[in-house]
Amino acid sequence: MKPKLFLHGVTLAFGGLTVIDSLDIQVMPGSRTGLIGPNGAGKTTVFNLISGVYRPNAGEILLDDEAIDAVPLDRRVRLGIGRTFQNLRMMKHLTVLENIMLGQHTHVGLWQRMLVPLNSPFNRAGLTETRAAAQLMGLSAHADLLADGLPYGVQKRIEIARALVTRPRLLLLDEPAAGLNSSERDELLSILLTQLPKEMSVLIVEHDVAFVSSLCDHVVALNFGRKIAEGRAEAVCSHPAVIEAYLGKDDDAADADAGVPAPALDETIVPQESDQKSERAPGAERGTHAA
Amino acid sequence: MSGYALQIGAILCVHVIAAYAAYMTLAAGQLNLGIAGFMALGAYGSAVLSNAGWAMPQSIAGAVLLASLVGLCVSYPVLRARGIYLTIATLAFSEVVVALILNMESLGAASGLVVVGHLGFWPILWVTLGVVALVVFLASTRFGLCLTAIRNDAQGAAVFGVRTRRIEVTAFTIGAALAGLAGALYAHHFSYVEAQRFNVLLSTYAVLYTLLGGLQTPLGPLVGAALFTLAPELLRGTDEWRYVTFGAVIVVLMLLRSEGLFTRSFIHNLMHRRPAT
Ligand SMILES: Nc1ncnc2c1ncn2[C@@H]1O[C@H](COP(=O)(O)OP(=O)(O)OP(=O)(O)O)[C@@H](O)[C@H]1O
Ligand SMILES: [Mg+2]
Repeated sequence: MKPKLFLHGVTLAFGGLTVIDSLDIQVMPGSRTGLIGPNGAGKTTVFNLISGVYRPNAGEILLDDEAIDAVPLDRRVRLGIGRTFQNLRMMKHLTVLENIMLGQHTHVGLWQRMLVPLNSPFNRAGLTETRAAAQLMGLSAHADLLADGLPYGVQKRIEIARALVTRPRLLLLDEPAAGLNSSERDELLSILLTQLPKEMSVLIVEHDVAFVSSLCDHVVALNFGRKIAEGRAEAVCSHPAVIEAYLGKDDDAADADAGVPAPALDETIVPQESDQKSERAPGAERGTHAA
Repeated sequence: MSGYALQIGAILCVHVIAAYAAYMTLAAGQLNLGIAGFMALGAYGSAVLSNAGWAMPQSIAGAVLLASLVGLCVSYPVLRARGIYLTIATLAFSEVVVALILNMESLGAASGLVVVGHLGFWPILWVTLGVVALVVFLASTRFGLCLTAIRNDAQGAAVFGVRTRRIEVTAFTIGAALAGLAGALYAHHFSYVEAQRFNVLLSTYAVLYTLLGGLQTPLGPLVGAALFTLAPELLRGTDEWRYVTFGAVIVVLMLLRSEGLFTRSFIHNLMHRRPAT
């Protein structure tokens, strides 16, 4: 079977710093592939490469066996690539429903965009789809509120609803469960397990090992922009290279790095926040890293 | 109504349309300080056509068409720049238009042009209401959704397939058309046009009305233009202090309501306020 998505020898550098280094990743059609790795490993950058925010310096990205490197950012969603943002990119002056509706943009004709009010009967199909996505993600109660001040977990779910109405064939979820409490997390997991079309290919960045293990049939682990392990979830999560990547072997932080590994997780790899990342409570996005 | 009130009413209408011209580009996140230039195109365009014997509605339509075509052509190079550079480019455009007119004897140069055909308050009011309806309509469509999305996060909008450049060009062109309309109405109301009137202060006021009224809803420019055209008139009794008061009010407003008077949450609160029990 041909992969749905194939990153082939992809390299990306910012200035002199190589952030993604000859990376090969395959996502098979209909698979649920996990992408794990410590902070700063390059997971979000991989998503940005696939969705066209960045262009690779070398290598190519194939979707259904066709190179998409020349396709600009605003045309990628038409190829069936839908994504969420780890750092929440809500349109602050739009309501929850309107934010979701933005995801339908490419499914609506030019004249309809100019001439049909969003609340008119001529947009009924669009509204129905939006409401269904909102309901699926448990957002009905917030539908007409401005997205801006809503709790983190709610905005996280708006991200997913908005990605779903793009009707993706390849869905990229960047830490969808981060910041959710455990019941919200279980709910999200069951939605992702039962409500996504079987033929949809999904690539998921997530730190929560339990979450990744229950959802993903295949996991790729990254560190410093390189693939360090790949295979079944349990095997990858217990792979020595992965454990070492998460725990860090040459931790030069002042903290004692000997002994109990678990609590040191967040500090070992210094998260180098990129400039577009919004401030949040540190650690709020980390799941249980149980390795 | 007294002649004075009708006069103020007509000026208010012109201000409202000019504010909507500024609103169109501002709604997409860019500041256009070339409003006065497009108003000049509309005013002189309609004046020339009327003086050549065209009926008033036709000459106004012709002037609006002229302003939109120029707007469309200018928008491509101008929108290559962003932020403050775009603003300076529009400002320069406006100055060029005025300078060209001042140098053309056939347009009366510095002494201005008498305009055939007078337009009273009422027709101007109807046209203005039409403009308000048009912008409210546009804001309620996906086009309006895209404008807000681009203003909030242009790259984020592009991820969902929004061709940001096209939307910006469309918004800029509609803004130019509205400014042209405001200029044409102005010319026919005063039956006289003078290039010096179309200076940067005029653009600044159009922008100010919009920002003070608020960008989040299409009613912001209306509220802003109404308040800040009428308030100085009401303060007329206090004479030399009125501009001080006016300026102070603007500063305080900007500090207290930096998103403008008329925000979406303001409207939401108004509509969902429970009756007191
Ligand atoms: N626009 C950019 N300019 C410069 N460096 C960047 C940029 N974006 C990302 N980086 C760097 O690339 C590296 C990988 O970042 P990335 O956000 O992909 O990590 P991540 O694996 O998603 O981490 P996290 O778990 O914290 O989300 C980091 O070192 C980051 O500082
Ligand atoms: Mg990330």
